[in-house]
Amino acid sequence: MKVFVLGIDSAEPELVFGKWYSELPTIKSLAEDGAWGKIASTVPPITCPSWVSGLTGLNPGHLGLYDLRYRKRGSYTEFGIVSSRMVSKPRVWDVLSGRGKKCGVVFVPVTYPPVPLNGFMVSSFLTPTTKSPFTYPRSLKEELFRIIGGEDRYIIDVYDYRRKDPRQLMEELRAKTEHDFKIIRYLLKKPWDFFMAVVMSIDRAQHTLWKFFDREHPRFVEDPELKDGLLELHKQIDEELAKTLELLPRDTAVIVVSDHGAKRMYFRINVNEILAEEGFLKLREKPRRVTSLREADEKGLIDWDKTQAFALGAYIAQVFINVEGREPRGCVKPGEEYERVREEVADGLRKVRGPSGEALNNVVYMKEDVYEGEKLDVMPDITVYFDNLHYGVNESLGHDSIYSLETAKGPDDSNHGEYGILVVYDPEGRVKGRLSGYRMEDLARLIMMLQGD
Amino acid sequence: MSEEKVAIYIPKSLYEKIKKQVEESGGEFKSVEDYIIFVLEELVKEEEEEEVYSPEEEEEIKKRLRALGYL
Repeated sequence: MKVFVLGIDSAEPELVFGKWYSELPTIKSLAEDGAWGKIASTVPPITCPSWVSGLTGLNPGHLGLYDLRYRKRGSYTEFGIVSSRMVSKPRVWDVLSGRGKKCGVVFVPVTYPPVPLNGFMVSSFLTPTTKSPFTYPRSLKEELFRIIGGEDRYIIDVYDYRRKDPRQLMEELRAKTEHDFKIIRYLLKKPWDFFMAVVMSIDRAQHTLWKFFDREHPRFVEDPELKDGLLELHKQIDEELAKTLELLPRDTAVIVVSDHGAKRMYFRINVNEILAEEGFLKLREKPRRVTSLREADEKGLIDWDKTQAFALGAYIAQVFINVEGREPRGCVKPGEEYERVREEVADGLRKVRGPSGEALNNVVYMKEDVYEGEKLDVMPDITVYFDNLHYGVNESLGHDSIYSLETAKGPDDSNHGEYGILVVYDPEGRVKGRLSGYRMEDLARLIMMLQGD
Repeated sequence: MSEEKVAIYIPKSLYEKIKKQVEESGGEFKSVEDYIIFVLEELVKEEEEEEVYSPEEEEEIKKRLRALGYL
């Protein structure tokens, strides 16, 4: 059976299946004729590793991926950007290609550079520029440029959105969604057995447009024009999906899925400030202005020989213990000392309170509780969801406080949520009703099952 | 490549399958040999942290991710 998957990055179940359900007739009818429910994202609930986990069917510990970036070997703060070459396990299309099935893979995150498959591939937002070889086969790029009216009209992503007027951002995101579906529908006319596309506009929108509809948001803004901005973008995708479904053969199974959700964000916690205050992170000198962890490291402000723990992350805190033998200048002995230090750090972060002293619902995961696999060594030792993701994180140093409202990163209304959406329409009715207990890693098996494996 | 080469036998049916893919690749691969070398090199180097992006490209993407709030 043919399988069509639409990924809506960051679509939140509380909005899609709750508040806005009746306004999204296409998704609603797929769900009512098929099955629907929440799908648990990976730890952390970030585009990478979530999509990669979903499409390999593997826990991030097998992949060694914990963010869109990674720490380069032998360094603390030198970061590389994840690419398709780092995905060392087969994804659904690799397996299906091997079985002679035709695959279309369009805008799926972590597919740059594109890899040969039995079919075609268009890379996602980590494509450097339109000059880069972002399609397989290479010649497909020219076809796409033709479809959308020239190379200069090809949109890789919507950039710099924090500095833009929200109205302009809305326009750009609408244009991006239109552009993406134009390409999707064009490519659907080529032969395929498995087709998957991911649209990013909801993810991009939520960070800036959340405060206009959510009256409980601490920075709620009354604006009649933008009140329905985020809803409008959802409706646009729903309408585009309806037009797209018309092109599918009758016996096609359809999945609509998101890699994580979203929720309102109150503040960001300056997690390395906490680690420095508690003596786990040793600074030779405290930066006088806000300084990225990378810059502080380059300037030699961090005394790694005496540092026991440091954190990375923008939305989720990912703490690494400075373990001897594993880290370049590790000083915490593996075994008992590691366990003790890690417990102390975790305990300190678990107790972090809000700016008025209120208790927060902090969720702390130890590495072995959430990860398994041969690449456990590179995964963070502790992951913290402050106030279960209602608080984000800054890794920079030189803040006056452990809380940041607006940061060097610009305003941000929402954090990622730990659940995504899952809608499955199976013409044979094998999957029906309310879904529960699905995890991102189950996506690959679900696709293979529907496909007829 | 002027490197010394060795001969390896593969099943004819696999060869035919690859040949078909080469033909459909739109000129991406010149021959079955070209294809096999590419795939095997991909496989062998997968464990390395290979630099896919040039330093300029990496900076550009980091700038974007920073603007998106991810870094």
